[in-house]
Amino acid sequence: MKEQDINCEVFDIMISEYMDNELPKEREASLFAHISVCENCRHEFKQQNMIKYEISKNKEAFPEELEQRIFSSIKERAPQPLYNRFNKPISVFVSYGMAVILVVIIMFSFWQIQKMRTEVGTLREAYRVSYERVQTQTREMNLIMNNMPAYRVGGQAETY
Amino acid sequence: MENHIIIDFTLFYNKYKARLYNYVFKIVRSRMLAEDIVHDVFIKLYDNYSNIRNLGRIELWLFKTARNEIYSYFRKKINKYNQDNDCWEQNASDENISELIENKELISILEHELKLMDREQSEAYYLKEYSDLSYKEIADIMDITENLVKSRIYKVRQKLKRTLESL
Repeated sequence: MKEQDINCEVFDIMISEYMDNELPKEREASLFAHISVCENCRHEFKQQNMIKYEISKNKEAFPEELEQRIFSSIKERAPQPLYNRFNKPISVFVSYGMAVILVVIIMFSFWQIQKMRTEVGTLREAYRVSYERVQTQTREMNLIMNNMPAYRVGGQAETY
Repeated sequence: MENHIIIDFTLFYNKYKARLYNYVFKIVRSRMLAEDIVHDVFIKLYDNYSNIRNLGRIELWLFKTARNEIYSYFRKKINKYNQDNDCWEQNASDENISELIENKELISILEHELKLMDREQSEAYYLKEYSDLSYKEIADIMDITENLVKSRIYKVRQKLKRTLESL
């Protein structure tokens, strides 16, 4: 095999890599520099480019029936009725239940607070009454004590 | 949760359906068989979606699963599909290369040549042309080295070129 042929084979491999977008950018310059001076490699490049173009345009369209078949199989596999009857409603009912429980808790809390307020009011009234009674008693005691005759300890009572 | 899977599945499906179908069809050369395989692959994707760990490399999963399905069908059901009119063996025998040349159908000549090649060799080439995967990804799918992928593709190209030059 001639040295030129071996050299061209290296560039043919590079052409194949280039067609596959696998040739590093830094090697592209050397490939195109060689192609510009080598008739064989230029021919190789054109041929490979034509083959790639022919192959790439020979693509099959994805069959519509297959698409329908795939999605129909998926629909069959998805547990729709069970899902609708149980999973989804349960989550909805759980939300509703939580909301009802929350409302009940709030109402109960209000009721408790009102009850406590009433109790506090009653206690406050009882305290006020007791306080007034004590005050009245204190005033009465003072009056009694002030009206009592003076008394000297250890002697007779002074007369005025 | 279910809706999220269906949306993700549909996105992946739309992105890869054509590439996957073309790859499978080119290997098995039977529309019926290709449709069965692609159907099964997408159903497997749907069923195993939650268990697929690397969703970033879903195309590798798809093509690898498709390849496994292809070889599984070849092992188990080849007899069934051999009887179909759509089967590639039937087509290959019916086609006459001289007729193709006369009709100057370049693509038919190229496809005819590819049919005659060793399947593993043409598979690497088809994976590159139709799946848009890198050499490394094809190597992962075919469980061979990256250099072997490059070499197989190069050899296919050389054979195709020689075929065209011999016309």
